[in-house]
Amino acid sequence: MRDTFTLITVILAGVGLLYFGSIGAGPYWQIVALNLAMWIALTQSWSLFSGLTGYISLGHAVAYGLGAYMMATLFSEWPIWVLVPMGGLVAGVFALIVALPVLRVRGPYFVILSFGLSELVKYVLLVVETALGQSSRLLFGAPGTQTLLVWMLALAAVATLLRHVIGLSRFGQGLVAIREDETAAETIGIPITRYKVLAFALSTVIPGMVGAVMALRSTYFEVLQVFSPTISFTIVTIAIIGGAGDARGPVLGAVFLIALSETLRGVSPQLYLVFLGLSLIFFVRFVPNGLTGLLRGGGR
Amino acid sequence: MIESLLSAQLLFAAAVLGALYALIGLGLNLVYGTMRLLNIAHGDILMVGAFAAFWWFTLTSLSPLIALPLIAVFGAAIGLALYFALFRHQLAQELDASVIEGRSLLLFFGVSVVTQNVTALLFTATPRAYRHLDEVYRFGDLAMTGNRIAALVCAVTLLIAMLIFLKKTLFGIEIRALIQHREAARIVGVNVEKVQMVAISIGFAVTAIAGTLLSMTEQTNPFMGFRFTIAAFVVIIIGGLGNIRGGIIAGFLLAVMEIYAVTIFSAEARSILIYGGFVLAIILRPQGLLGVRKRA
Amino acid sequence: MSLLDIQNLTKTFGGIKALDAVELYVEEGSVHGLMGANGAGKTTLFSIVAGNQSLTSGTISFAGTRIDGKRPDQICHAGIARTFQIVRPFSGMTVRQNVEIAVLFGRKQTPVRGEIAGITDEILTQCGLIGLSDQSSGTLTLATRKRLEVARALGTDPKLLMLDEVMAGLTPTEVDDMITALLTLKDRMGLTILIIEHVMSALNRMSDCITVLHHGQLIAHGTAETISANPAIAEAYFGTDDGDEETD
Repeated sequence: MRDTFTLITVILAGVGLLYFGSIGAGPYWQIVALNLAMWIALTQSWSLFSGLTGYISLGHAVAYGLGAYMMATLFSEWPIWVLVPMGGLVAGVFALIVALPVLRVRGPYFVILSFGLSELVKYVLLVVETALGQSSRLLFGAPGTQTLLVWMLALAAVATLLRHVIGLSRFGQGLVAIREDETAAETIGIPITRYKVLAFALSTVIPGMVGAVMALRSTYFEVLQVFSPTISFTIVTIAIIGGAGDARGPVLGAVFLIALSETLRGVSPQLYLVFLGLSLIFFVRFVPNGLTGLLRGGGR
Repeated sequence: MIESLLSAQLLFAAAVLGALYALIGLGLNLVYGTMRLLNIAHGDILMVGAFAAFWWFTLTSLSPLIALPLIAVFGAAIGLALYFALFRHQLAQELDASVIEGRSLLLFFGVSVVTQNVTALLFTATPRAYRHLDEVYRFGDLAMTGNRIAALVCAVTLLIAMLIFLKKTLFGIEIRALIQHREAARIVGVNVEKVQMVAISIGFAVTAIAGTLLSMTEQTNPFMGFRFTIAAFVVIIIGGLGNIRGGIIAGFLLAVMEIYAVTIFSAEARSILIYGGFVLAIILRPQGLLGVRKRA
Repeated sequence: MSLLDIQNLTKTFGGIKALDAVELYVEEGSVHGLMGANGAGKTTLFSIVAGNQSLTSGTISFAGTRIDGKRPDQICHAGIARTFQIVRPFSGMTVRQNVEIAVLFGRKQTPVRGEIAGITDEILTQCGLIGLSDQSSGTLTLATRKRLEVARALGTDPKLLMLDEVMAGLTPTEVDDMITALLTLKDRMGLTILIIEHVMSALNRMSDCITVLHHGQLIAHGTAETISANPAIAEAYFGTDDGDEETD
């Protein structure tokens, strides 16, 4: 309990620092803060499912994309404060629908399946958009970076808290047992299918909302951009680098990523990706428990 | 409509594509079957082979077919380099297969991103193409370009050579033994490490060759590999993981489905077919649709 | 009425009958032994009762209610616990955490937060594991892992405990300790035990009655004395005259 209290304090401090700091420092830094908050929100949510159950999802871009699509298509009809949660809802419902067949597959096959699923949804929506006569959609009158920053910081804070609380809960312990040994877990009374489906769906809600918010960033929306495998890949890389064992990992990993991104992206986006790929390779090979693993002394 | 569907033109296109898919499926099966490495950078090796061919032709004006042995060696070298840098240590520990699979997936993912973007840095993302052997030969209604004929002939020759290698040579037999039952192979005296090195060299070499053959007929760009990685995985899943012959059949099967899907529906249909097939194949039979193999 | 009532249980894989119309009745409060050569179907029977595998036909009732077709976690809540032939501890967790998680999830009514530690400690003590509570379960010796497997099963507060070759690989001293421990636990916790064993001395000492399976069929049932005296069983089981025990 004291642990949680400390965390809440840290989160509030962090949010405050990011918000007021970036407002003071200028629009460029607001965007940096926005991206940092975005990756934290995405990776904490991912970690809730993949970090605890060990089912590594390489397709979380699908949740992001569905939320963004929701925002892009209904932007002119409904207000933003309705559409953002709706983005999360759509992603969650999609996850519930595909969960049963998809979660029957284990280990690395789940990894490539999740990737394939995200790509499939992307191409289906591409066909749908063509049929609707849309190649890209325009969003006029979207709110400015400051408003988006508030949304994103809120999502990052909630995602971090959620990851922490679930990690300590009975539900979270059941998920860890599932990661250790599904058959044994079921035999001692854990309803493994129900838990996996629940965690999976839960892990897509905030990414859906993140996608909806980010759709407002650019004035035009394109299917290929929001369902990008780079998003999925970056989430996993952040989790590996930061460590997926607890709520600190995604924060450390996201900071690392933003530092890398701000240094290299201006020089060349490809160079940034090269270093990101090298970082992933390095950490998987030599530091599999990530930065938080190092902090804990290399143990679990 | 039926006549056009059964036209020699479509069948020829399917044959060429099928031979290529069979090759890349074979390459992936060798690497996965012997070492349980999930090479998600597989298509990027193909891309490297394609780029190598492009630069060979551009700089020497000689046919890439002449450079095939060179490119094969280049591919093999990349495979061996990755083997020593990333996998040798883990494989020697004899960890559980699922751990190797999981880690290799992430490692190869990194390799894929690095390969694609290094190539983009070196050569920009602009697609490249070159004209070689593009005279058209006609047999009745069938029009074939020389490069496609060459690609088909080379690919099929290589496939047959590989089948003979796997059946008749010592290394080939050892590779098959390692695929079928790792522990038993070790016990009967197979030098696991050496065979692994041979397998990854051949697997990468074959894939690089496929890339060269492909470069004669299609544009090359640093990000072309994705599509072939997915195709390769569909092929080995349908054919049965580690099942060499199954993979070859599955390669042709996939090509037929793809060519006909695009003809009947549209180009977008191809992506939906491939990814949809991929998703279904993994959900329904991770152990393969064409036969069950014993796993070590 | 028997606690566990298995009637006409058949399980086919493709063309093979792993179990063929097997009948088994386990009386409440008894220790019921299950023996047979490797491949006789004993572990398959356990898996089916526990819900890890489906049956092809037949019925299984526990305390009067049908349980065939239910999920393993539901069967666990009904009061059946099993151990696995090849032990499966949660190796990333400590000894205590292994038992704790069984206590958290295995009972029909989840215990109150404050009571969990107490219940866990009690089980660890009774299984002689309290001194190793904070050790990682991946680093234990085989004998200790077997005890942990039993402790974890007990964490779910079962009425019926199904033990699958829990003595395999143990030295004669360790076997003795295990037998004593199990019989004591049985009395203290009011358990019924169904036990698969190859170690004949253990079966003979512990069982009130024994069922023998061979190629998926029930070929004999009786007390330990009757079974040991039956030459047909010795032949089916050992295959030779000199009574060498099969090694696992």
